[in-house]
Amino acid sequence: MAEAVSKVGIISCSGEEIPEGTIARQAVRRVLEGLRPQQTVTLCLPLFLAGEVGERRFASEHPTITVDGCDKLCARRGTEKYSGAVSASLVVTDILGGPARGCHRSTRNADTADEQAVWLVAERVAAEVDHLSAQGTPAETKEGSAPSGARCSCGGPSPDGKLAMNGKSVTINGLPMIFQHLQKKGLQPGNGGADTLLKTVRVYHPVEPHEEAAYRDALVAAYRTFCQRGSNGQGAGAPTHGS
Amino acid sequence: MLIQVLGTGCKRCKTLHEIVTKAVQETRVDAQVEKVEDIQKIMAFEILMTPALAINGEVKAAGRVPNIEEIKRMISTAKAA
Amino acid sequence: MDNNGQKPELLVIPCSGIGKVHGLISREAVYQVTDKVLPGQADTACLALLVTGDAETRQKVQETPCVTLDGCPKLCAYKNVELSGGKIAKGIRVYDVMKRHRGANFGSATALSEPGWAVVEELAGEVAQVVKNEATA
Repeated sequence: MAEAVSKVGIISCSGEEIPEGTIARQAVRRVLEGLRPQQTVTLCLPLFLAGEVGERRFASEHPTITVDGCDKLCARRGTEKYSGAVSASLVVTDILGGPARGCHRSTRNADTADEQAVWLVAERVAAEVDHLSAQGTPAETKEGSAPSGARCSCGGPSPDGKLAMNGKSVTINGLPMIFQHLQKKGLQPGNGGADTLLKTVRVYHPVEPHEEAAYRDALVAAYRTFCQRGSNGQGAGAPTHGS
Repeated sequence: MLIQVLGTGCKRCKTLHEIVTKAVQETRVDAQVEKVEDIQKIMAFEILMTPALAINGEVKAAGRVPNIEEIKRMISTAKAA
Repeated sequence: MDNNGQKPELLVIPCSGIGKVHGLISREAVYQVTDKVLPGQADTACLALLVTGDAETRQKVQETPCVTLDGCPKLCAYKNVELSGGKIAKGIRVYDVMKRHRGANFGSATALSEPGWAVVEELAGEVAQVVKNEATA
């Protein structure tokens, strides 16, 4: 039986000087928020120096993937120097086959080129998460217990894609990302959006015919909460290493 | 029938392609199975994650690898439509 | 990184914290300064290069007045510039500015909303004020 391992850690360089740094950051966000939210955790690289001993234990507590924008490899070198050996080192320019042509540093200017670059890097990172996870079963939070390492000093727990349904909890991979996508398309919270919610979610998560009514109700309630949380200034966060 | 497997070449994409190919053989449906690996073409389907499965242009599953029975049901439903 | 070979008058360095919207606001505020408000006068530097002790970047922060923008009380940008021997003209705490707009939806750590971009512009204005103050000092 596979041993339980901790979540896979991902550290981005988030380099500010070049678009590849932004791509690294956005791709890691995509993996944490949408592609593998239950299996991953992150930490801000500068916390290795600005933070405390707990932060520097990151690479020893999690099999760690570093994602760097360029061959200066700051995330990898910083992690190795202050925290421990990395399990995988990914570089945006390697994944894209060269510099990120047509991409931008600021998300305000992001267009199709940026979206495609982020997608490609995120998929590569997610595949690496799967590879590391296959070497052991990622530990999942027990029902009712506090999420492990899921709080950062900015406050608040991270959304976890769990749906409360008929007294039990169902995990839907990428649920926050699905909700964000629908919100962006203009779907309003309420019973009027129930069919759209169900139709969209069942692409990503199997729903048996006899479960449709329960899923429909649960999704309407969850989407309403999601929209309210956004309007209360509680933006979606990413699972971060707790202090 | 056109069945498209969308993905940039990761392990799960390959697994999905294998299962789809097997499902087509076992259901004996007249279908063309196509791998779509170009990122621009994948994003045109407006999916949020890969691998994904589309039948006659409509996305049936994404971000997961359905088992062969589920894929066979999707094929049967699409054939009947 | 120099603009047209000219040394910048100011280095603006964000924390770019990846966990919450505050980190993205700090990052975007820096781009607003370098690209729109003070093009040619202000530049940025990768905080990650300071973490690894890159000699060229350390020299830059030691020779050029710096403004740091931090999204949370961990003060990663401020502390890393300070540890690198940098001269900090001002340390801006993004969360203090955000408190003035309590209840607003700023977006997420991946994408900002309109109120989020409004805070970005407000922060850029604060940075521009530092340059004005330095010039009149």
